[in-house]
Amino acid sequence: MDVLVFIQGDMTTKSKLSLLAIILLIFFGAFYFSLQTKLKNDDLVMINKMLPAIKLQSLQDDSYVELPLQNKKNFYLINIWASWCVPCRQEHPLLMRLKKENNLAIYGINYKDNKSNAQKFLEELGNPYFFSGSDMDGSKAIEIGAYGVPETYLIDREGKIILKFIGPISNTNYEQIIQNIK
Amino acid sequence: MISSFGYYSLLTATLLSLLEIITYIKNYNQKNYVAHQFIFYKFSFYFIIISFILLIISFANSDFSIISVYENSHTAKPLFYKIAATWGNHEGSILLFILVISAYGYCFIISKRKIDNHLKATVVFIQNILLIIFLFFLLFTSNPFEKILPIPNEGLGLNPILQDPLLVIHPPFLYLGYVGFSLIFSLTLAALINNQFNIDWSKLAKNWIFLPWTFLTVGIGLGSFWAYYELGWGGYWFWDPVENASLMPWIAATALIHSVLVMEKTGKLFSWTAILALLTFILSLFGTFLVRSGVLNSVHAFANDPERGLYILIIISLLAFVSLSLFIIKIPKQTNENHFTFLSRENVIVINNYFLIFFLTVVIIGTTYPILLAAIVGKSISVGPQYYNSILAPFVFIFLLLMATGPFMKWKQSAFFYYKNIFISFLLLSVFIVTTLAVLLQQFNPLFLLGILTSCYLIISTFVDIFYKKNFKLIVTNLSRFFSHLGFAILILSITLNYFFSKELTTNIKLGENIAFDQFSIQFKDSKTKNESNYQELFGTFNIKNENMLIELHPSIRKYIQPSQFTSETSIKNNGMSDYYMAMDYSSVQSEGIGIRFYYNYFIRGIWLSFILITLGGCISFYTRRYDNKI
Repeated sequence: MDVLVFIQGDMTTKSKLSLLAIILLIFFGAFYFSLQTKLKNDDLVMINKMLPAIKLQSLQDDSYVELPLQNKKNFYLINIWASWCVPCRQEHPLLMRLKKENNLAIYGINYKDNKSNAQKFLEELGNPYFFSGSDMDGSKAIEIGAYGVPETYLIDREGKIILKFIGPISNTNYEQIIQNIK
Repeated sequence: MISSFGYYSLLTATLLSLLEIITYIKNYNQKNYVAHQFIFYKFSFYFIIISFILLIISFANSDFSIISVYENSHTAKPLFYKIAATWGNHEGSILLFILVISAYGYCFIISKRKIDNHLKATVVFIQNILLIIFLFFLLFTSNPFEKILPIPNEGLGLNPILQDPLLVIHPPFLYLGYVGFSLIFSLTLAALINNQFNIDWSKLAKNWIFLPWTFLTVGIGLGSFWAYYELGWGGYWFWDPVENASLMPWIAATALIHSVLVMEKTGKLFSWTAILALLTFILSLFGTFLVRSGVLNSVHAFANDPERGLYILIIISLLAFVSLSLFIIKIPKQTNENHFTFLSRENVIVINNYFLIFFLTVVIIGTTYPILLAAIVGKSISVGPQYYNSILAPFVFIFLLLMATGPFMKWKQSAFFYYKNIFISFLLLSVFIVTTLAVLLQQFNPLFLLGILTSCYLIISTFVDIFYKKNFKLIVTNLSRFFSHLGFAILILSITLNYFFSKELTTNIKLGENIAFDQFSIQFKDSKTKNESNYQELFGTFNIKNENMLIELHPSIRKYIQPSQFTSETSIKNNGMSDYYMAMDYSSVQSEGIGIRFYYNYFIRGIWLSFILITLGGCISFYTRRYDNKI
């Protein structure tokens, strides 16, 4: 009964209690830390900062855009996606609604994807993007501070990041976006 | 209106629970517990029921003045799913959590069994403290009756993937299971505090372990069944962290069931049983933390909130510290506890307990390691089935052999019920079965052979064990073990067969096209569209040919209106114990064809059968224990 030797062994009650306290402190600390990291990720490190300047090459042809947009009259959305990303399919209908019902221009950044798969994805599910940019090596995503796919950023007229969502946007996020562009 | 009532009845319940605690403390020295009959606790329970019913009514009426209704429901939903949405969100599920804690305490109070008054009062006192902790958590961080202004006209909808009858009953069962372990936690702490942790305690505790354990088994089974039929991935278990969250307390509780038996029969394993009892509930809370806090990324789309996660983490740490400290200080010292006769039944159970703890450790590491690694190193890894299969499989086989051996041994002495040669005859019979199967199925992988050998060995021995009992009463008292052990053997047998003989194919197929693969050929015959009230559905008709058999499958894709989302409805037909399983992929029928996933799931129904048997074992044990007690 090796395990019980530890529990019932020769240690004094006091040292057992301290050992327990230490173990639980480590447990608490480790998970507290992981919660904080999660908060940092979710949290809005980039919020209210200017969108870093990036040049987006089109997915379809030789055209490109430079973000943040100059003299833009409206808010716009940046969405990082990939055809291999399952949550992207989940949020896709909401992006379509943002485009159709709210007339929001969405700049897609196609992340580490294969061109034909990406095209197929858009043909099958519909294309919510005003402009589809390509980011084959993932460098553009890094520049704007993304952790993975999908991520969505709402940019205001001055090019400031107003909202940032990590992971697929939810109905609540959808409402938030609408509130902000009104 | 209703929302205010709901909120105030929660407040009232909290106040009543506080009153119950004050009453306990006041009466502690007078030992006069019988007089007031836990009246405050009972009324607190009634008020919790009322608020839960009010929340259900708000959901049924689509009362969008309440945030949680607005966020999780929609007028176009069928009533059944409106009601299910009550516990399909964070706030409602925490209310259900509280209801279950309260209900277990209530059942304990009204149970007819004679319990020492002092112990009973302390158990209710601790259960009540747990109740208050979570009531505060609910009221301060996740009030389900929180209002929204202006009142929206329409709700945001419920995830259509959760619109499944199985999923409506799956979470309540899980909760009845792992929240139910709160009572055994209270029972253990109360006995330790009162110095009543003894053999009588183990007799009392058994029922309260079997009950939630059975619920949890059903909950896990339903979850697995749902994932298989609804998610469309063809598998029954994904080692997803959320699944693991419910598996961890299940393993701990399984170990606890056996250790309590040893404690009852031999008067040993006191501290081990106490540790397991406390650990089971702590692991349940830890599972809740993992699922609810958002520390893990999982296929299960739960509403997460790191702030709430912090509260749950604090609750777990404090409960663990207080309960384990009490354990260290109060556990009765027994000098001869650690002396076991080598070939006695209790020793085999203890060894199997070690195995269970090993399985538990593997699952805990597999679940938490990626989280901690991501937090500390910032690197994301995912731990897949490969890890679990390769680490667990060999040990599960040894575990099965011990499961088969234990019941043939006597308590407290190195002796078998029958002559030892009986094991050799089991072994010869199993070897015969394995050889026949291996030749028939042309499969000689050592893991396959071992898996079939050990599970057959266990199946044979459980049958012999039950049918060689001397009289009817002995058969009845051992029936529960018979069913649950048989179920477990069939589970491992089915998993082994399924693992080695299942086939899958993911491809694009055009209308009219014929695709051949392995011994199958798949033909896309027809497709048509249908409009329903809240979705549009595209059906496909496929002909599957397996040697001489022809099977027609009709998978479909649903496009939901609110929220607009696609789900794929699988089509499944069985041939004996095996399933033909097909799902179509999110895409419209175009020139490219349509994406399909075809799975031939060998012997999958054996897995469902095993869940039923294990559950049956649990139910019977509950019955036979009571029968036991009356005698």
